[in-house]
Amino acid sequence: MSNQIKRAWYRGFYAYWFKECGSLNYLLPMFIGVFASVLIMIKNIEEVLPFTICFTSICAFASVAWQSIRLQATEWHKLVPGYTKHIVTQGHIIIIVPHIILICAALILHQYHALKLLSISTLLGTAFYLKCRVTSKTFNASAYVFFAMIGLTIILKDIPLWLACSAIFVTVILILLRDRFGSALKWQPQALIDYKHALQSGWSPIPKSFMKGYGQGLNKFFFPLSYFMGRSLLQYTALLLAIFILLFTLNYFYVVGQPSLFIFANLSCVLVFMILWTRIQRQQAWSTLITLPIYSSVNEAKQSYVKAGEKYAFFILLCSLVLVGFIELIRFESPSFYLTAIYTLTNSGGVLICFAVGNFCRKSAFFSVALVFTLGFVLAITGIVVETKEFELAHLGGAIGYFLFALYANRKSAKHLYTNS
Amino acid sequence: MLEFINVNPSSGDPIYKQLHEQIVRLIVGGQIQAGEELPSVRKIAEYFTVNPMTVSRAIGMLVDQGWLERRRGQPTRVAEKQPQSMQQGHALLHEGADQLIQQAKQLGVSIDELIEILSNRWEQ
Amino acid sequence: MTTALLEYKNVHKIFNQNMVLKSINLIIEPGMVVGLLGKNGAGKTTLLRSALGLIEIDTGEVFTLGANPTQLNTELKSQVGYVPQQAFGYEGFSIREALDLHSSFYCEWDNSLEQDWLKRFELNPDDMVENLSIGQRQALALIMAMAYRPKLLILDEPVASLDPIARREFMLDLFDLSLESGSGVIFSTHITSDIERVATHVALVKDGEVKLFNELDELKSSIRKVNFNPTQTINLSQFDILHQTTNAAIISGYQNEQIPDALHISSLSLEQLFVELHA
Repeated sequence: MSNQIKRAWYRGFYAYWFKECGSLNYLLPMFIGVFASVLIMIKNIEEVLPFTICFTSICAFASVAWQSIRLQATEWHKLVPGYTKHIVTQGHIIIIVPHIILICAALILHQYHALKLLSISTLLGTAFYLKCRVTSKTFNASAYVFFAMIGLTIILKDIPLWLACSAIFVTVILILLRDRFGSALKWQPQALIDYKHALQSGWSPIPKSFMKGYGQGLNKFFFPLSYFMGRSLLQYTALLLAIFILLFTLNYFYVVGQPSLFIFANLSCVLVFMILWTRIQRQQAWSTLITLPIYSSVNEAKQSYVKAGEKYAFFILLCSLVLVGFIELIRFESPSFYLTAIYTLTNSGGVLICFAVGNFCRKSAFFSVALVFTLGFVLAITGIVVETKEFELAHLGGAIGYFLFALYANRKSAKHLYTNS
Repeated sequence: MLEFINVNPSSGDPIYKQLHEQIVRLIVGGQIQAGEELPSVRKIAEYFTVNPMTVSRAIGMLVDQGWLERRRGQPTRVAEKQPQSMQQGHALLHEGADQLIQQAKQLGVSIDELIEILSNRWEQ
Repeated sequence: MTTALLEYKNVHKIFNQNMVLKSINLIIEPGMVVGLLGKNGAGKTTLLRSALGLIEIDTGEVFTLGANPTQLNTELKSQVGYVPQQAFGYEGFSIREALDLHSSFYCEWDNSLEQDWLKRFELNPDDMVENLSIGQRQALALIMAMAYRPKLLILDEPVASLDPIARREFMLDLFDLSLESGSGVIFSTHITSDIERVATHVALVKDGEVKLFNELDELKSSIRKVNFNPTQTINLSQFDILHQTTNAAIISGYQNEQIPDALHISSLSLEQLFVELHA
């Protein structure tokens, strides 16, 4: 009958999952997350556990969900006998293995809270994955929704047992009913468009046509960042401002304080990541940029890019200043504005460091890796700043030094910008 | 011998017909000798970058009409005895003659005038 | 048991209130090389995709290797080769890695053909697929579709980006495939001269309909353009009139007879026919 071909499940595994930008972007954090979660469980650092566990779990699902979009964009995948099954099996392994590790670690280390968290994240992840098997639309938006839900887990300090059990139950039901959602992994012409768009825009949650036609002045001010980003510069800036205003208002009406600062720092860095991503994706565009009459040399173009990055950092600096200054003013009994100064400096410093590291990178894979670590580093610093209760002059000195170093690093990175020439 | 043949895939004539006609011309004109071997269908097809089935069809027709002979295990070759070459020679000119006649009629040239033109041009 | 490799029976497809495929009736048998000719948007790609179960038709039936294209089993799938118009799928892979994975799905993969073609198309196995030019990607897609010698080969604009030498090489290999393996090939293109060299049959698609489907040789022998005086009535009833204007008509079924009142009867190249039928 049919010749069953002996083929190892891991054939093409590395190339398919680790050399594709999209999936790599989720797999790397997932790997880091697995290690971090186990370590955290050992050290019993309760505050961060929900975040790392859920983040790891969702990243695993997101990577496989993303590749499902890729499959839907591949016309021939169902025509090659066994191809789809091969890839799907690899995807399932990617989901199952980290979860098993986490579950075992949780059981061994008696971290039962982790198990409850996993039940919720598995439910969310499964729903996300099953949805992405069927349609390529709204991957970005869904991803953001699901990631945002992780934030919920931080708020819901304690997950009741009944909730965890229902979550498991619903997950099983979803898996059993999976064929009801629609035809899985069917080729559709829209999928390729969505795939390419997501890749080019760095998974921006904003639809392409948002705010069309505005922002000429903004584009000019931030040129040549805007040259690579196109319309998304305006969109991202608008997004940042919107969240800024939201946090502002939240702090006015409720006491949110420190977490909102953390979130804002998070977002600024993520935005920088997206800005840098657009440049990496459009390396070829450098040659056109350099031929524009505004630059008399390649070096000048590079310097201009780096300075535009600086401008963006200063923009972040201003927002940070206003945000944290306001928080201190409203919420602190005796505002010393130390926090304001230090936070502002470290946040914009962090942004500049992201720019500097990003400018060094030529290839998107390397870029992803580097930026994950840089983001981790920057956010760790911000975390420390935000959590510190007592401030000393030494801290301020440190912040100033950090900021100046970041400025210098960004300027220096101009030399290493890869312009394809 | 393939250098003497000119195949135009975009002409109104099917390729097999062009091949057939031109090979007959070469045989009648003596550019290919009796007994000479033909390249394989595959080689001919490769040379002109055309479907071997078309070549096969042309060769088949030539074999049927006696211009070529096939022998088991041996390449196809030009037949020793050719079918009434003279008549074939005349038949080959029919199409050209028809075209000339059509043009003459369009231009309003009479048959006698045409014969005169032909005689004059023949001398040159 | 039908011997047809691919069969369309009265197929219709509507998309966004447009009839993109209309009354399609086609049969492709082993040894046939069918050139699908038509303007962009005529429905060629839809036609080909419906043979592979990528697009579902509204009425009629399609039989791919005798089976429903949406339900091809493993064995049948390994007998169908497909090259889509847009190459996509092995981003992140090197050519070597891509071929290694792709070949693992087929029992009958011909390694020597693969190596031969890599050399011929001048592809370096260590190059990354996403860095290849369009022509190179197309060449790779061709290798991937033909190395297991499928019985039915479906190609959507397969040579559009290949240079003339590469096109020639590809055509020669196509012959080998169809002759030696008894395969059937259907390929869409708008390069008429390629069809004239390679195809045994031509299907002309216009506005979703197959206006003409015939053996190429037959087509050339029996189709003529007849010029006539617009003031005189001309009797062309014994022929199939494909297209008519005030002073000319494209007819089929011509057998070298005389046509009274015809000013000029000329044969047509495929390109001329294509242009005339769209005039």
